[in-house]
Formats: sequence, structure tokens, C-alpha cells
Amino acid sequence: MTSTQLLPSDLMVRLERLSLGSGKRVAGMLQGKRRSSRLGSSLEFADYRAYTPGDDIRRFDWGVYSRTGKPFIRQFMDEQELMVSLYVDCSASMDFGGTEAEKGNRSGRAAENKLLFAKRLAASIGYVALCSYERVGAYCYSNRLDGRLPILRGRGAANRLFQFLQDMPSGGEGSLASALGEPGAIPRLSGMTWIFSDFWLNEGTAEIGSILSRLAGAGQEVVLVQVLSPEEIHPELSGDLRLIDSELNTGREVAITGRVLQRYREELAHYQSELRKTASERGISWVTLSSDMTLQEAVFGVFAGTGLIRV
Amino acid sequence: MGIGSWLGLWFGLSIPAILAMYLLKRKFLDTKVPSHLLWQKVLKNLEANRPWQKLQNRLLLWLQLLAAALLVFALMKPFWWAPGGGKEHVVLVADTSGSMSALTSAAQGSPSQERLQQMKREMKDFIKQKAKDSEITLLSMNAEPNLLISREKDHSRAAEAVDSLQVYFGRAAYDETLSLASALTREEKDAEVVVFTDGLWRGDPSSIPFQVPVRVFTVGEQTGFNLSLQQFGVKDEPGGKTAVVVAKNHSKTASSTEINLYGDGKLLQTAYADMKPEAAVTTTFRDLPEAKVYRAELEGNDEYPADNEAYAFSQPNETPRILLLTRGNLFLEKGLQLTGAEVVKMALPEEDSGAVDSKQTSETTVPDHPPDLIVIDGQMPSFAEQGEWKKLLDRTPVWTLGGGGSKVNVGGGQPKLESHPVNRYASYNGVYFSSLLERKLPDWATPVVSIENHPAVIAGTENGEPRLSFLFDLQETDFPLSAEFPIVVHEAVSWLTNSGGKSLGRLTAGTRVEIPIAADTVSARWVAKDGMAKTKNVANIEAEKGDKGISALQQVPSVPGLYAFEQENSAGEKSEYLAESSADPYEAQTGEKNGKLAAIGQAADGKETAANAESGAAQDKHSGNRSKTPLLTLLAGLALLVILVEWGVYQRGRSI
Repeated sequence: MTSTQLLPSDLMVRLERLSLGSGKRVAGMLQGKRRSSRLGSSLEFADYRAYTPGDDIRRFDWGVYSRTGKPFIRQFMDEQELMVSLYVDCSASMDFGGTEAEKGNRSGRAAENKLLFAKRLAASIGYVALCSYERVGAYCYSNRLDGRLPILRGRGAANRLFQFLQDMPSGGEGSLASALGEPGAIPRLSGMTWIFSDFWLNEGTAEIGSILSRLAGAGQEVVLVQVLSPEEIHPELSGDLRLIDSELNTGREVAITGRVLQRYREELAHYQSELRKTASERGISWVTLSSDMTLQEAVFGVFAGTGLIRV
Repeated sequence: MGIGSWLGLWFGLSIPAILAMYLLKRKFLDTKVPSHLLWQKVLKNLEANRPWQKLQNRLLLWLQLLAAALLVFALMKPFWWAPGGGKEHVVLVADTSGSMSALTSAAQGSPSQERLQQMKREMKDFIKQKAKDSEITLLSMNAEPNLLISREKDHSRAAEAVDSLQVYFGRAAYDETLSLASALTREEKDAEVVVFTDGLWRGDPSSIPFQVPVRVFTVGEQTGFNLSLQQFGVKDEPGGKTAVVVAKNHSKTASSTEINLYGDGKLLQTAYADMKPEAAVTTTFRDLPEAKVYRAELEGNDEYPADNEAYAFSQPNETPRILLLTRGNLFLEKGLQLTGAEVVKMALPEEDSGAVDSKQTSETTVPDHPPDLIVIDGQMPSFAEQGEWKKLLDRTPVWTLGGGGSKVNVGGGQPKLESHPVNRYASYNGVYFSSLLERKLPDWATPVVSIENHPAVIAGTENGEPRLSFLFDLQETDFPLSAEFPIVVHEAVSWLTNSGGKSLGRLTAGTRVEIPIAADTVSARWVAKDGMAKTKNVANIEAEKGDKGISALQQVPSVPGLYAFEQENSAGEKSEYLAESSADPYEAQTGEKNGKLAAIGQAADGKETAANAESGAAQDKHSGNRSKTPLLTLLAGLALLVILVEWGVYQRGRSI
């Protein structure tokens, strides 16, 4: 498995120029590209201040002192990295859409597998972050955290991220609340959290709201990316069907009529607006993507359009 | 439009059954979806699982319901009331009795024709118009009921069968035919018996129970002018033959006719008879010349020609009468008596002077009763060579023995025998012939026995009468002493007396009669000789054959007239018996319709009406000339079509 399979190389070149549009400045251990809100050790001059004992004498401005005799310390803007956490929903409901043959066929306009599309989106965001010298952590979850990747930094770690994403299997019931309720699931450092999921969650919106609140409370700038397949947006079903839930394996018998489908679309719109409302109440970004979009449309069109990514 | 069986409506329960099957149908196609999350909500709001919603937009269901409805409807046996379609099964009874050969009167301007032709036309019209969808069974009547076609759907074949009908002049089986028609329709509901007749019906048709309606069509009007020859006989009486003819006028108007009497085809006498209505007239013809067959014929055109002729045969005596002219020969006399014949001996005087001869010629009269055989022993008497005697000799078989003339000495030579009936049991072994008469052989003669190329016995036929001559005097041989002599005499007499035709008399057409069949007969047939049979050109009818050759019981030909029953043996020799086939005298009646015949039609109709009233079906008003046309075929076709469409829908995929 190589990274080119998850992300096409021409796209990677374009992604390298991007940066994440996080408004947050995050303190970090190392110097990053991102200007911190605090003064620090970057090359960007900020101000002078009087020397107090204990200051780093490397920053002592000898020139000013020789001219004025007063000890001054040069202050610089601190450049810090951003903590980016990527959560990919690997529950069974994500493994939908697309055939085996189409999974490797990126040029095709046919809808991709939802999970693969989510993984690619996560890989794109992760690659953008790594190229911007951000710290990147990746998680796969179903109703618990199935896998976590130690924090990565630097472009060289991109392959490890891709490998991790690619290797994560699907399966299990999806539950955001129980997965993020696990200890250590929420990043300790404040930063940006991307959650890629279809949000077919049996818990109500109230529970989703509470977990989102916890994330916000942990200083996270949360981005919710709902990935849906076209079949879910516009189901083309007919006849007597027993609809089997891919996660629960329970069946529901439905005699599909045009009226039923109409009601389904109404329900979908209603559910999406409810989730959007829950997110916007907490200042959380909400993006809906269909898996028949190309990666470029998603990244340069939708993400860049909403300002989540800066060109 | 009507319904044959409301019971079929029960099958309508299949429609709710189909609906129930669709409602209870638990066959859902498994389809995996990522999550039920939304569907749950959709269903909660919609309650789409309410049963009747499954029935919406289901082409397959509607097609099945349509097919089931069609089948149920078909089981109810619906039918249209089609005008004149006829019953399902029509049994036509054709009266082909002799009276159907009567001519219809030409009063309508059309040429007169047989009632049979008219009946055939009416029957074909009936089949065409009133029984066009029916199965046709055609019965005609012979001596027994005759089933020509049974349940024939092809009406062209039915018409052919009608065309093949022929008049049967014998005693027709009226009620038997009607009884067969009744039996043929016993268990049937939609059947009908249609009788075509001229109304002349022997028997009691009302005694035959019918379960189906009977219609009687009467063919030809009964103006009824018929004269018939009821009896005709010829008897021997002193002074010639006397014929008695009894003719009857069957009609109600007086008439007159000429009765012609023919003997062997020649008109002998004619008598004029006044015929009172429904009375018989007896006419006597006297002093008839000798003839084999007499024919009496009624002059004039009456409607029924089959009974206008009658034949009588001059009956040969059972024991042949032999006139023996001899000067005395005990052997010959005894030999002739041994044959069982009635021998009249006429002693001739010894040959004397011519004066005596001339006296005898004037005195000797011919016998009153002409003999069947004249045996002349010795010299032919002179009186026999002229006058009445010569005429008698010319038309009577004659056997001469010896006679005058020059003789040739054969000196005891061995006789040589030809094949001849007279020689059948003769061998002439050890018989001595000293001399034979040397005579120029007459034209008719062929030698039967000859000694040293001199003919000793000659035989032949002159003017149709057999002749036999022994060219030797019995006194000149010891032949009378031999044991063979009586046998030869017997054979000679039987040959000489039997050659003429024998008659079987007057027989009713179609009856069976016992005919003596000769042992060596190889083939036999009825040959039409005269009368209606001849004018109608009746072909030769081969005799019926049984296991042991030609059977002795033969059926008399059905067309009236004079027939000869010819027998032919292996040698090609023919013998014949004459017989008259006469029509059944019952058929000669006119104008007497059998009232009971019309009654059976009404009675059967009445029964039907009663049955209808019981069933409560309002069919009475239709029962006239309307009939049921079943829609079963149409419905079955429609159902099949629907099932085909259904199959197409099924092939295309799932419902909708």
C-alpha cells in the first residue's frame, strides 16, 4: 500500500500549498508555521520590553543598550503548531456504495465507497496539516476507538498516516458518544478536530450535542463532515423490501411507493437540519458531502469555500 | 346473455383468496441499507405497512384478479342468446319409407319431384339455419334404424349424409328409429329431436318417451291421389290362364284408370276400371296366352308410382307332367314313372296305312293341359307334325327315342360320353348297341354320346326349349336292361323339365327370403329385369355371402320391380329365379296423417316448459327460435391472454 493509492500525487502537490483555516493559535512544544497568540521565538519581531533578570540574554538588544544604556529585550512572535485530530467513522454503515472494481478507479464518476471517500478526505486534511508543520493525530472509531495513530509531525510522516487510514477495517456499530467517551479519546491539547462520519447514530441529537460540547470544552475547533452516498440521498428502491440494517442486522419490511420515498427525503432533510442546528449552536462547522464528488471538488470546492482550508 | 350455472359463483371465492394471499405474502426482498435511522422515522410517520397499501400499484395482482374473475365467470357457463343457433345436439330423423318416393303435386308451378328431394332440401335448410352450431346426428329408417352420422360437427358432411338418403320401399322401422333417437338423447340436456316425415307413420310414436323436445316437420302436402295394385295373380283354368287384378283407389276422389296386362313384355289385354273413392276394384282377364311372367300395370299418373305394377308368374307344376307317345315300351314307361312325374301315356297305333293317319290327325286333339315334357318313343306320329300339335311341340321340351330312318351298324362299339347333365351318372359300361340311326343332325343338336363317331344321343335347345334325342331304338339295345337306365331317364327328365326359370313369387322389398342355392354356384346376384328397378337402373346386387359361400337367406332388393336372382356355377352356366320385389302396401295410403306423431312434439314441448317453470329460469320467452351460444371458449381465450400478459409482466421483473 502506497500513499498514491489513497491520494493521487497531483492532488498531493496542490494540497501542499494549502493550510488549515483554524482561527486558533495553539501552544506547542516545537516551532510551527502557525503564529501563536503568544510571543515566542520566531523570527517575526513583535516588540521591545525592559529587561528583567532571568530573561534569555540571547534576546537582549545590545544595540539599544549601547545607544541608550537601557537594557531592552527584543520580543518576537511565537510561532506554534496546531494540533489536528482526525476522527474517521469506521462503522459498518460507512462501508457502503461503490463496487470492488470502482474502489481503485478514481477517475470514474461513479459513487465511491463512503468509507474510502472519508478516508481520502481525512488523508487530504492530514496531509495539508503535516505539510503545514502541524501535529496530526488520527483515530478510527465505531462504538469505541478502534485505532489511534500517535501524533505525527512533518511531511515525512504522511505515509504513516496514509498507511494507518488505509489499514483500518470497517465494522461494528457506530456510536460517537461512546467512542469519544473513552478516556484519552479527546485530544489534550486544544486544536482542530475533524470528524468524518455519516452520522447514522442511534443516539439522539441531544447526546451528540453533549459530546460536541465536551469537544468544544476541550478547546477543540470541531469540523463535522457528513459523508453520504447518493443512494442514501436519493434512494432508488421499489417493491416489497426488507430493509436490513447493516450494523444491527435487523430487518424492516417496507412496501416502497413513491410516497414513501418522498417521505424519506423529507426525513433526511429534517435530520440534517437538526444536526446542523446542534452544531451551529456550539459554533461547530458542518459540511455534507456526497460520495460521488471528486476529492478535488470536496477539498477545493467545499472545504475551501467554507474557509476551513486556506488556499 | 344468461348464466348457465350460478353454482360457478362459488368459485368467486378465489378472488378474496388471491387478495388474502397477497396480503399475507411475506416475501420481501432483502435489501441492505446502511442504517434504519431514517426509515424508522419514515415508517413511523407513514405506517406504510398497513396491509392494503401493499395492493397498490401491483399490476401482477390486478392481472391475476382479472384472470381469476374470467375463470370464475367461465365456470358460471355464461352464454348469449343467439338467434337460431340451435341446440347443442340435434338428432334428425329422416322418414325414408316408401311413401317418401311419392311425387309432390306440381300445382306450385315447379316440376313435380319426389318428397324425398323436398325433404332433403328442407333438412339442409334446417341444418343451415336452425342448427348451424349444433352437432348433427342423422337417422334414417330401413328395415332397421340406420345411423348415418353421429354428432357430426362438420355440416358439409352432414349435408352429404342428407344427400345420400334413399327411399326404402320395404317395411320401414318407424318406431324403432324414433326409439333410437330417444335413446340417443336420453341423458342430454341441450338436445332436440327433429323428425322429417310425410306424416304417414306406422306405429304409435306417443308410446316412446322423450326427454328432449321433439319437432315434427311434415314434408309435402297430402292431396293424396294414389292408385295401387293390391293383388295380382294368374291361375290356370280350362281354356287358358286367368289373371285377377285387385286395384284400389286410396284417395278420396273418384278416378278411372286403365289396367294393362303384359305377358313377357308384350301387351296382352287392357281393361278399363272405374275407381270409387277408397274402394277396391277387381278385374279379371281371361284366356291369356302362355307367358312366363305377367305384368299388370295401372295406367295414369298417380303420386306414388311404386305400387302401380305387379308381376305374376305362371307357376310350373311341382310334378312335371309328361306326355308319352309310345307304341308300348314298359321299360321307358316305368323309368319315366320312377322320376316322380305324372306320366300320361298316349298309345300310338302300329304304323298302318295313310288313311288311318289322316283320320287320326283329324281326331287327335292336343291335351288341355300342356305337358311339361313330351316323350316320343319311336316314329314321330304324323299328326304331330302339323297344326296344334306342332305348336305344342315347338314350345314344349321334347325327348325322342329312336324313330325311322336308315341305320348304321356299330356292332357293339364302346360309347364315348361328352360332359352333359344327362350323362352325369351314366357310363354305358357293358351296354350293347347293335345299330344307330343315321340321321342328319339338326341345327340345335350336339352329340352327347357317340359310338365310333356316330352320334348316339344328341341334345340341345330349340326355340328356348330343350331337345333330347336317342338315336337308337330301345328295342335294338340292352340299355333298358342295365341298371343305369332309370338313372339316365331321371337325369334326362330333370334336365328337360328344369331348364325353365322358376319364380320366387312376390316378396316385400327388404325382407329375407330363402333361395335354393345350387351346390356348384360360385357367384350369385340380383339383376333388375323390369319395372321400377329397371327404370331406376338399379345396379346388380351381389348376393350376401356367409361363411359357407353364398347364404341361402337373401335380402330382397329394396327398389320394387322384377328381379332375377342369377346363379352362376364354375362352368359359367347360369340359372335364375325370378322374384318381384314389391313396396310395402302400407305406404300406398294417402292422406292419413298419424295424429300421434304431432302429439309427441307437443308433449315434449310441454314437458320442457314445465321443467323451465320449475327451475324458475326466465327462458320461456327465449325458447322459440333462440339458442344459447356458450361463451366458454371466448372466456378461456381471454383468460389465457391475461395469463400471457401476466407472464410477460413477471418476466419483466417485479411488480410495477
